[in-house]
Amino acid sequence: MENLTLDLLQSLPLILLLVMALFLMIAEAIDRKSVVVPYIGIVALLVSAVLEFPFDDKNGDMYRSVAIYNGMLKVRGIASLFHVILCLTGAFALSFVVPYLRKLKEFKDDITGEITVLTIFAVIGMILLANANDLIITFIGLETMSVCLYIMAGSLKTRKESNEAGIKYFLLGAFASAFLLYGIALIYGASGSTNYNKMNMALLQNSPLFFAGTGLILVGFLFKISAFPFHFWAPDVYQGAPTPMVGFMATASKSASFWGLMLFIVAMSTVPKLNTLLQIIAVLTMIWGNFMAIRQTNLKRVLAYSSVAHAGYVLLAMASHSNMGFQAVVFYMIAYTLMNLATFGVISLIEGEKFSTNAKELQGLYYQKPAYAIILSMCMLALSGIPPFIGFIGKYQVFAAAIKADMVVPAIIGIITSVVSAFYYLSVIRRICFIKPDEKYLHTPFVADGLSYTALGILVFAIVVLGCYPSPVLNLVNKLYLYSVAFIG
Amino acid sequence: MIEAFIILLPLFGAVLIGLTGLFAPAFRSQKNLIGIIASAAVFIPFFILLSKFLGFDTGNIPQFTLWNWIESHTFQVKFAYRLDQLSLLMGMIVTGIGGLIHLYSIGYMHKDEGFYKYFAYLNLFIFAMNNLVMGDNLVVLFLGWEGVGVCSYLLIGFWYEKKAYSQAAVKAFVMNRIGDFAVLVALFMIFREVGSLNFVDIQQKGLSTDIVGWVALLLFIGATGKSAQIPLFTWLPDAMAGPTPVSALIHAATMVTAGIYLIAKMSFIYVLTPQVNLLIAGIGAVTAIFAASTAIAQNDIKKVLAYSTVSQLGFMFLALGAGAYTTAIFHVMTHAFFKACLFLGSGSVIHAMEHTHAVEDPQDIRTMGGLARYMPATRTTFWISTLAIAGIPPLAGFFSKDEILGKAFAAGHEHALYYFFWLIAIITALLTAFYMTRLAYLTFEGKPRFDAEHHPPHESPAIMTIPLWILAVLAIIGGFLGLPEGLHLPNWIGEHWLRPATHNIVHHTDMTVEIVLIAVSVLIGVFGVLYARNLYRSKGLEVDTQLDRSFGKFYKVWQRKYYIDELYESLFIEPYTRLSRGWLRWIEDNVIDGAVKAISKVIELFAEYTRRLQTGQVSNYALYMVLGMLIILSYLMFN
Amino acid sequence: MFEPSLNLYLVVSAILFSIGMIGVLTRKNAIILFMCVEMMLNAVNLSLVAFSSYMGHSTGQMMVFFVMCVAAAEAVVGLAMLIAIFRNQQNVDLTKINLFKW
Repeated sequence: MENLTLDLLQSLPLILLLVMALFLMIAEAIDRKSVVVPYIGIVALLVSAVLEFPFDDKNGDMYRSVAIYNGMLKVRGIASLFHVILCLTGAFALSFVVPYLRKLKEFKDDITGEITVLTIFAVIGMILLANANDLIITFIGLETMSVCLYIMAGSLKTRKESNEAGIKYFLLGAFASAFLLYGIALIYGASGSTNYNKMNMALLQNSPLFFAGTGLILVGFLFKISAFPFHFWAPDVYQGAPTPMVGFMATASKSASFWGLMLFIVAMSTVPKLNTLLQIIAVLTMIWGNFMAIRQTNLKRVLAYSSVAHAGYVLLAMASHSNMGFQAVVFYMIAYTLMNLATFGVISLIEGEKFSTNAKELQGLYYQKPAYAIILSMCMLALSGIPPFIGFIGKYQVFAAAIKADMVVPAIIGIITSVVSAFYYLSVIRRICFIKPDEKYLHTPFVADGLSYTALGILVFAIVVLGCYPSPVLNLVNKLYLYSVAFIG
Repeated sequence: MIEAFIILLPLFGAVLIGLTGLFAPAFRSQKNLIGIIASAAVFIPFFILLSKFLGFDTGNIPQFTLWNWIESHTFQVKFAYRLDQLSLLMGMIVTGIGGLIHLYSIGYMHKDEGFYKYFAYLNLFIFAMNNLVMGDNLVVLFLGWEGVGVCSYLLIGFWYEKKAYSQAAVKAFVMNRIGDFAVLVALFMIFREVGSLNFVDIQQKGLSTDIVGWVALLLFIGATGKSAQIPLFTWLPDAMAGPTPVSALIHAATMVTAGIYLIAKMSFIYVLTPQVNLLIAGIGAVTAIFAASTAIAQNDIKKVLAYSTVSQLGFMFLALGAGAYTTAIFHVMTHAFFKACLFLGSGSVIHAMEHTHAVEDPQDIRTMGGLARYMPATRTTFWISTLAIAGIPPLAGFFSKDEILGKAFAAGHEHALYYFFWLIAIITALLTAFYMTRLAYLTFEGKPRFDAEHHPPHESPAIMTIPLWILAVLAIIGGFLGLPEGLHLPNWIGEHWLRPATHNIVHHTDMTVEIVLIAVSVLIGVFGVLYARNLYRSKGLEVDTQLDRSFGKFYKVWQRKYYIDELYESLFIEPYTRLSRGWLRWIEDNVIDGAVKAISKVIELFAEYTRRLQTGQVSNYALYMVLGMLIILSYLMFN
Repeated sequence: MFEPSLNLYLVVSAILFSIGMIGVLTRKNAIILFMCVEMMLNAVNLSLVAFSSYMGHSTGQMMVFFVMCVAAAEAVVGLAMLIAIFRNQQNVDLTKINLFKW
């Protein structure tokens, strides 16, 4: 009993989220038009983030992660960082959801409450996924997250675009989870346990089921992080789903999946073969994502392919299978989250009633709303990895890790594709800043509220300041990683 | 920490002007205020640098760190700067000439809508350039390198309403990125080998022999992109779309010399790579003659100057290839003086021609002529710089160009090919004298070929002519900093100042050879100038057809005088012009540009076809996933 | 009495899984496709139970309960979504759901 009390205390921030989500679900059911629900949700997410924040204490207790609930779930240490980032991502996404939905005539504030609840549940799922120490938790976390995201993608139920995004994401997602689950079953069969600490590694690594299981689990993760050839859903879903929700699923679900995959790979202490495989996938993903983005005319689709490409970079760092590489994974996903949240945030604010982000409609944004155009341009520069924005630091780390691990050729291919990527990012900038707007699309509504402005301001500030002075975050990641992942490579 | 202002003031100026202009529209019309802020943000660093220069102590080289950018246990990047002799000199060129061009721009851009934006970009450029030339490690250098690329992109496309202009900007950016990529790979290789990107560390630890050649080659490829050498040079002529002061600052005096600076800064590795040096010299020489021959056939005043810049940069690379790093930097300096003066002069001309509204294209020298009467200051300074670039003693260009020729010849001891490069360079020098005189003559001398009676052009205001005079004076006296050492004269810049910071490969020559070489280059220069002057004085462009009509046969008799000229023309100039207008242009457009275009075409086609896999059908996507899974599983289980 | 071995269970499970997978690849009706996915999940359940019983501890069986919960949740979401689609376009033919491509 004492153990359980301790465990409950340890996971208090997570339980807080759960309680708040349930409470808001009931509140929302009672008063569907309530406008305070999202704000309570944001506050809950922020409080949870603050409670879990890994403040420095003298003993370094907060830096060491422990597994609670019988070794099922990790808390503290790097797990805290994941918790904080995912909660903040949820809060930022929500602050863009409110004005976005208000802008859509047939929805107004009707579904804002639902989306809030779903976001919090999704965040809980993501935290479980990222901090799982047991394959059961991985599966539950992944499914909790995914089911919420399916609904969010299809939440504009009277619109065909949203329907299509939802059903495509749902069917393919469920298909991918079946693979993941099969992999878990095989690993369980071979090792006698689903827990990372209790698996019989000697037995597992000699079993024929090991590679099959690992491969299948990998498929499940690669789908979520949209790596080639499991990324085909991403462009269609990103284009059709409501923009702020895309911002959320592109950042938080991808980060959580990457971190979950990282823990899985660390736990498996894998063989060189798997690293080679990851390298190949990383290279293909980078090439595919960047090259496909060139021919796209819809900004959200461009960003979808760009996010595929970014997954490639992170996989490259993952494939280096070194401390430096895994730290790069953590840091890159933080950088990526900030950049993409800001990008999709801006797009959700400028997006018109006609539900489109086609190039023609965004053209000449500078002449209508210079501030938005400049922020969007900054996001593009950050995504393409040009200093002094945070994207550069992430890329630097990834490629440095890859080169350190003697993966020179993949790293060079990565750098080449990142040069190619500059091409489409810059043409977005060219279009929004240097070409006069098309007369037909001049009257795009711009509805935003104080909250979304603030959120956008914080994100842009973080992108620039952390690009110029990333040391605090780098050091935090470094310290937490070394204390808690304890991987000697 | 007064040095910090050298770096920070231009950035501060850029941010202040940019943000205030963006959010306070009233500020945009305060053009004098903007101009003063921007110029001060460049001149103050110049004077700080000057004081550092005057109080320079070899034992106590000024260095400072602004902040630790990236600081983790695996790697560190510091914004650290070190003002050694080379950096100090480059910094003074950048801020000094930059400041003058800022002043000039106040007059030149006065009527432009985007005045504040222009100055914000210009200050940002100075900031990036200062990082490039003063950084203590390769990361800061590379950031500056990328930064100047971005600023150049912004400024070339400054008048982005014209589509061709923004395309020129994109072209410049993409071509630069190709070079940047090579630099980046070189940086990674150095980092792997040395574990640090600090210049001092690299020099002390040294690079192993297996990679030093590759690093040298990659850095050189980067330099060809930034400094517009074959094959990555076609962006520079197109870059003339930007405002003329920008061409003077970025595309003549400073940014394009970044490649030369990089190689001179890393001279300690180039000392070890004779083959790469040979390649550098070869590329430099070929670019020089190629661009010079193209310049003859151009009629756009800025295009002529652009090709001339490419050609002069070729000279600098020839010097680098010959191991004469100090000489290359010396030429960077003198070239900055006279080429900035030429560009600003051409800006003054264009400015005047625009205001006459008498011609369609204010940059076409065929519709100019006779401007001497109207623009005496511009004319005098332009001629001084023309003579300087032509290599007429004792102007600045003579000393630096002569030194390059001498060093290239001297390097012939090492490899006979250098004699050949020397020969190419001599011919180029002749062509240079010729086309520059042609340009100056057709622009300023003779009779006006536009309606000057009713639309008389005016001399530019003092704020534009004062920088011209300063630069012209520098173009006269700048060369005395590097008198020919072969004649036992004091070569201050090479022997005294830059020697501790760079590592020349020294080849000795006899004094007699030296004297002969100098004599040859003087003769070449004087002959080129006089010949071109005579040719164009006698044979204007459209004037002669008019004369033909009014004087009939009488005119033909006059023409006979120039029988020999026509012989020359049909023998050399005509085929040459045809060659440079036709063939060389064709090669440039199709082979070099084509290769660049082909790569992007291939990428586009690839994207065009492969994206058809994205059918929008769920079952297709599921099929791809299953195939992917099968491949992964079979790889893991059976391989 | 015939005592089936672990391998036999695994083979049956793999066959079921493959049938489901092939169903997903070939069927056009979204509901059938979804049922095929459910079949894949249940195939895995069979493996889990077999492993669990073979190893003599309950982790696998516990996992099965979670899987069933997840499957139920997915069914709810999926069917709701299909209803929304049916309302908008009067069918659930997946080949007709392709606004987005290329």
